[in-house]
Amino acid sequence: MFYDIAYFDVDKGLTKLLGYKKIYCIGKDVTLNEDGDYIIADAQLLHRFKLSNIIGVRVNKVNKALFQKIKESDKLIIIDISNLLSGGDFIREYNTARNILRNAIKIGLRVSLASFAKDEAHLVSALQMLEIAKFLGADEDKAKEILGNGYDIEKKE
Amino acid sequence: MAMILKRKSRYILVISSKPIELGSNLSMFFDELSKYIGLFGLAKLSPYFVKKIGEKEFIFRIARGSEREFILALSFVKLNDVAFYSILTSGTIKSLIRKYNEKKKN
Repeated sequence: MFYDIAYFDVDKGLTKLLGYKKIYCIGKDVTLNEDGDYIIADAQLLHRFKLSNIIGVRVNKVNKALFQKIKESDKLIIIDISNLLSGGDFIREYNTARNILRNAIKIGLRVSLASFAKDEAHLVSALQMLEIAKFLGADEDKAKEILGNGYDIEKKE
Repeated sequence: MAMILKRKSRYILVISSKPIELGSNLSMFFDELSKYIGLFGLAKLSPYFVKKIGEKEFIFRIARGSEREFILALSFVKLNDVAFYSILTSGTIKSLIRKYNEKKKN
């Protein structure tokens, strides 16, 4: 069962068609850098929130000291691939995401990929997300694990 | 003399984020695709637009064994701000449509 995070509420039918169990909506299911029960915090703003409410940390660059801190707190690291998908500086974005993934796996962090899509034009299907995970260097099993990391909301509930 | 075997194909069901007339924009679509896989990749994949089966649903035929490259490249292709989602792959059009109908029902 695969998961994603988006800035808008994705229709249930489309979610199923794309192959996801759930696409979390920022502002509805989870909050981004705002107080709430299920917070996704940007790495540099981690200290602002209660650790128990943070379900994942959004990361966009390699910071080994921070990765170690995330590991100690047993939080999920969420790699934001929105820049990669929007097709700006493709090679640079690819290398950044690849480095984050490589370092996070090396340290033993629980990793997840998310599109953080602003609209439907920036979403990808689960099949595509799996291929992106492999493109970033994950093997088949790891890629499935990455997409199956469900931000622990179900567990908390 | 070595024989060149017939190329086997796979069919991929692609959904667009908005209704789009892909038939008249095919060269633009393949240009976008080749930005990511290159001309060699395009030749290897041999993508072929088979047909439109709905307002936003399309079937493509590609060389077997190249599905992953096509699916990956499609993640980055945008045509007039329309994205394309690869949903299913199959060996025949018939089973592809059957699988799609089952997926829609569930």
